[in-house]
Amino acid sequence: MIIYGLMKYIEKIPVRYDAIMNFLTLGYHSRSRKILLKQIKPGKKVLDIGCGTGEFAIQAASLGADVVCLDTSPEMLRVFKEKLMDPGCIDNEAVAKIKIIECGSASIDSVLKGKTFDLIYASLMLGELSEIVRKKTIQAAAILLKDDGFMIICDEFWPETPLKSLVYHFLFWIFFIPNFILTRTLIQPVKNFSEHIESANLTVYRKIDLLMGAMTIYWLKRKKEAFL
Amino acid sequence: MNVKEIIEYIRDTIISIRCVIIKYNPIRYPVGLIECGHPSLDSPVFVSCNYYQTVVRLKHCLKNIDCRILVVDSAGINVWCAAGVGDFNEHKIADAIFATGLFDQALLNHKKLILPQLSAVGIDLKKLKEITGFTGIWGPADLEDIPRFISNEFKTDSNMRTVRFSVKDRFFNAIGMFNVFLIFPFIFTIFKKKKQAHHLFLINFFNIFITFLLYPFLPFKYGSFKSIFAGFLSFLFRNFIKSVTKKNRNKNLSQISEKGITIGFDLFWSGLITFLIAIDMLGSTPFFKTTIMNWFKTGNDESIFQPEITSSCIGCGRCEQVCPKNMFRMSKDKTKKRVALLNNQNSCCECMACVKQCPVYAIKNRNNLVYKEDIKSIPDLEAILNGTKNRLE
Repeated sequence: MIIYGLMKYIEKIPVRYDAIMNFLTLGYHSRSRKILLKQIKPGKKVLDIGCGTGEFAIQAASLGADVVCLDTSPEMLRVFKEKLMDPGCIDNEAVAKIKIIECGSASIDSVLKGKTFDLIYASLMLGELSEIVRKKTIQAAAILLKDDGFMIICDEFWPETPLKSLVYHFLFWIFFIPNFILTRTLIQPVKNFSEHIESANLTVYRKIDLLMGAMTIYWLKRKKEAFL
Repeated sequence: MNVKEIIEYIRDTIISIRCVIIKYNPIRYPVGLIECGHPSLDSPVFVSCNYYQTVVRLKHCLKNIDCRILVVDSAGINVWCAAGVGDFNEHKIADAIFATGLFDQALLNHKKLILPQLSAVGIDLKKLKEITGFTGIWGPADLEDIPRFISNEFKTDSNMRTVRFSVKDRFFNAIGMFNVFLIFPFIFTIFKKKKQAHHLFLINFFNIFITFLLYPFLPFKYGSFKSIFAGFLSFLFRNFIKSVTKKNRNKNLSQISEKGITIGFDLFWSGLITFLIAIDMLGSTPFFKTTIMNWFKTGNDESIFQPEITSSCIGCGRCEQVCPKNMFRMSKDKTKKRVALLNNQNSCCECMACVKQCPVYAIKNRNNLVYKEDIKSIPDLEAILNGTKNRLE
């Protein structure tokens, strides 16, 4: 019965997803989004990996960017498509700028072959992936990035210094139960991130820590080719 | 066996035990490619979800066969549930194929995957082919049938396709459920009511283990009534044990109430736990799947969704291939067009695999638009069932 009740709750989650995420991150979910939205300029080509219910994509399209959205969850995309139908949510001009593709994050380089983007966003999705899928996702996204484009990743990263890591372990296990009860899945913070961006030939351009490092926004840029 | 293999074996065993004990908190096996034996370029590739215990069982089952296992991210959930809610779909498989390098490397001569049959409700084979170029064939429902499936030239028969829910599976299920219901004695323990906690522990134990282990031998057709009967049995059984172990044997059933455990307390908790198990049996996919309201109204567990084959059937046989209840058979009359026919009436468990896999949307619901609605992996389910969506291959 306990599980039954939980399942019933989670079934309705796509609609409340943003609200729950905001609650779990003490409001930093929307704050990080504001920081991300500052990057959007009209005419820019944006790729939103793991768009979920499309909250970010809708705001970006309203600012004039061409947005390609990807997600694997048909349920999330259904809520997204319902939002696009609702004139109260978004105007027609912006709807035309959004393109939704149902596809996995590691297959983007073969699905979107030949396309390039000014900005690639991956917000709170890397942690849900298995390690090798995450590595492949970063590599595939790097291929789709324009030479002067940015990849912006907003996620929870496992701290690399030992003391922080210890504190983090402690907090992680305290929050484990409420987190598990609310989401029924275990979102693991991203590990070995620097290794992965190295393998994708990217370098960190800028970094912002939110909530004492519990959430981090990375600006990644393609490494300059060495002169031959 | 070298040291590495021994360490892996010990780790797998420990985590498997942990998976059985705390069933509802899944542990994920890392996505990747596992090599069994000495696979060659022509060896088959078996696709698995990443629920840890499933992968361990699959590895054990395939240890003498030269093949590869492609572990796909299903959020640590078992194949059937993950496929139904859309956590195990063609995109997840494509991701695993790209991430493991199965796609670009010269690892394989063929582009064929063997998918678990129970994942049919979530996987669109056509899309999988479009994205990756791999074709999928359905394996058996139970992974222990895989050696038989291989010796049968990679073809399933009706026996392999049927979900059985064997004693072993029922036992694992009972342990998992028993541990969830431990929450009640645990709460009483916190409030230092030892006797009540001990009592509730016994109620849980008898109810759940009688229901699951003796499932085929209990009277009544439906799981919910079987569990209520089991609850009644365990009530008598427990009181019998109590009256035997009591020093003063003269007391009869109505007098055995100790301090804190009145007959009212006993009846209430036995009833509540029996009722909760009965409700749980309503959602158990191996048998039937119905809503609580429907159970109250009609008194049976039969799924509200029951397939009906419309005239648009082209006789491709895909529904027969994926049905875990052996509901379909193909017509053998050569003078007429080949079509699917219904085998058993009312044994559907509403997994919707047939609806998902039918290329012409020929399967409708006999009960019109009423069903449990817990399958999320078919985006236009309502349109398919009310006939507004038609597709021709």
